[in-house]
Amino acid sequence: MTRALAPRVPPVAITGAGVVTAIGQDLDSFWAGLITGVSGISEIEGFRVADLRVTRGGEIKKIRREIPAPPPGGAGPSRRSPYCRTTRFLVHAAREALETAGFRQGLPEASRIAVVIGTALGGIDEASRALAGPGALGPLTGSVFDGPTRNLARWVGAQGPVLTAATACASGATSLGLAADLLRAGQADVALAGGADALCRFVQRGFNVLRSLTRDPVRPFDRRRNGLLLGEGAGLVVLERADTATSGGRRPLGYLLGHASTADGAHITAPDPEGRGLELAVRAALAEAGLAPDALDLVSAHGTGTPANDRVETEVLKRVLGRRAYAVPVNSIKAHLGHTMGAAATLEAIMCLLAGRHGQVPPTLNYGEVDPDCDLDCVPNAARALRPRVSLSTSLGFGGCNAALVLSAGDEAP
Amino acid sequence: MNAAAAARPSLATPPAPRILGIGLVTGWGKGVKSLPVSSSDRGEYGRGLVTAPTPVLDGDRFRRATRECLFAVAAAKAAVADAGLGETDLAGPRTGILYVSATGYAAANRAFLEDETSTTLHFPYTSPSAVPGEVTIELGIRGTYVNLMGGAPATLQALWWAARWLTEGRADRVLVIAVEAFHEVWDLFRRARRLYAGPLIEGAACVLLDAGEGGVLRWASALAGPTGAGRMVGAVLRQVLDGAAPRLVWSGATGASLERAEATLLKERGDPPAVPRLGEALALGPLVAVAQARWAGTPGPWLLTGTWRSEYAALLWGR
Repeated sequence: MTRALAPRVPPVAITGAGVVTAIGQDLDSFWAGLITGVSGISEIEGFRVADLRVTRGGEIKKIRREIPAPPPGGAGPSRRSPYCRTTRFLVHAAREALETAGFRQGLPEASRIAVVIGTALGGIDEASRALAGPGALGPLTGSVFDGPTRNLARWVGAQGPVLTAATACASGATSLGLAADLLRAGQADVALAGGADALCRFVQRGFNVLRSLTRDPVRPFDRRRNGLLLGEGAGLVVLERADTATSGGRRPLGYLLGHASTADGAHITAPDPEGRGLELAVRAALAEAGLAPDALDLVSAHGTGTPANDRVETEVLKRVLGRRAYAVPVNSIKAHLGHTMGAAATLEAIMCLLAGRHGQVPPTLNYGEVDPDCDLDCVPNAARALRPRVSLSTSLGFGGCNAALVLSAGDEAP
Repeated sequence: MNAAAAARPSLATPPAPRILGIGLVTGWGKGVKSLPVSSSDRGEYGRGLVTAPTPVLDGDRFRRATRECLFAVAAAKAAVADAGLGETDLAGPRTGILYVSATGYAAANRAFLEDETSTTLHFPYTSPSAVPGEVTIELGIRGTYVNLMGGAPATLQALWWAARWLTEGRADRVLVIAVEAFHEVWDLFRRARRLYAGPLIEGAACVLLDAGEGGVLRWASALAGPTGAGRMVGAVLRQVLDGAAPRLVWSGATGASLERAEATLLKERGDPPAVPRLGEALALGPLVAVAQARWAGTPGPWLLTGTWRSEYAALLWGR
């Protein structure tokens, strides 16, 4: 066994969360949709898909029109820099995250606020529109990869570190880990972190060409699984050091105990067939948390519903969890939301915290036939009464990106 | 904080890493020796772009790779060679990798947007992570891995993160790679030339680091707020310098007010000599500067600064 990739680190509190998804645009409706098995998958209406093999996805049909008022010191969109769809997702999620964190009355000093956003696509949706027409340079320069992150930072009024993580579909986990590291190093006192991506023709066509999309329901871990469907949205959390997170009687949603992002070094699109990089990420995140695999009550898998991903994740979890592998629930919410790319890992982390709060674990939808290669307990089709305290969330992405988060639910520091 | 964490070196100011090797690929050639010695010697008057030739690499796999991927792999291999290591020496989980770029995705994204007949092979290369992905595949790297998108401030952050990983034992060695590619999107950048100082410089740079140089590495950044550029620059530089007097400076600051504020503050610190800035290389700039500083043989501390979209960042490296 190689040396551990991570030292033990202090937990970081998650004091607020906000979501924008195809099944709900706030925490309550998101949670209700997850538990009752609502699927946000529908025919895509926002852009041309008639010529594509797969025309469905987890599209948000109606994003709230009004841009929420920025906190004191923040600034909204301007005529020169209008908000792209991804930015709109982010600011709506940020409003909820800041409110649930108890920052209704204002934020800490601007220079002590960090913004760390993960995205797989950045501002490509806006760039495609800008390139298609003779328009001004403004929208194009504002649509660069880190454009939505910068827009969010301006909306919040943050003047501390601003980062855009691009570890593809693992970005929403990497961003939380980076933000936690900034807090631990004293570079910020509050971090708004998470992920976002917008469904657009660019990515729908790309996955279509790759033949990664399914015409059937998304079926994570099912023997019949044959591909994913894309989704869109944003998930954001407010992170603070544990020692300041309970100021003013505030009660954290939970804690980020450990994180690791690792490389596969195997293939640009496919996971390492042995899952070595993912296993390293999981073990390193557990090492950061100072926990043994036995401590895990729930695994939120990447669970895309592609043949390779689900098999590799299952094998890795069996190796890490050992004899407990069949005793730990392993769910995937990709059939509810579609694969929301940069937002996915953050939304899944929020799901883990809400499961601990509500004492229920959302199901893996559309499950019907056991695959001997994916035979863990995937919480098929119906929510389960269980209050997971410690959860593991796994993510994988193009370029051989892997990420793992270890989270604990509840307002008491572990 | 637990006792073990308290006993570790400061995460805010980790020990400065040691440079094992540097790889550089630009339009002027390979390696630091190919760079012009001054901005007046760069020989591109009248040109707005210093185009880098596409590296030619062995291996069938690279027939699918984009130009920015080839830049990254070529620079990484050059850094490994410069360190006197073999190409398999970095394989496995103990090598970390940090990739930074402001534009490293633009050419592939544009090509995919504008050519609806693109084949299966092209789409994955629109992801920024394809660029470091090719490096990890080529060198067999499976360690800690982060990609940051942004200009020079993101690179300064990446160097700070590399030092942290080495300090915390997350990696024995770390590759920090920056790539910028403008050639295919030059028509778009040309429309925004007023935003850039000097010609755009494309290519790649890779710095291979390990622990043990001594001294500290201190990083800070800020987004412009209502307090104005002068106060922002002052706050960042005071935090980074913390009483230290840099022996060498590379300024990636763009904009008259930022440059003025920076110059005023550095004058108070003895007006240290500057590494010439050869043009606008966005995320690539700080690593080119590190190569120049190392080549100059000036001992630390080095001060590197940069701007990107209202952000100003600075990094102090070394004793």
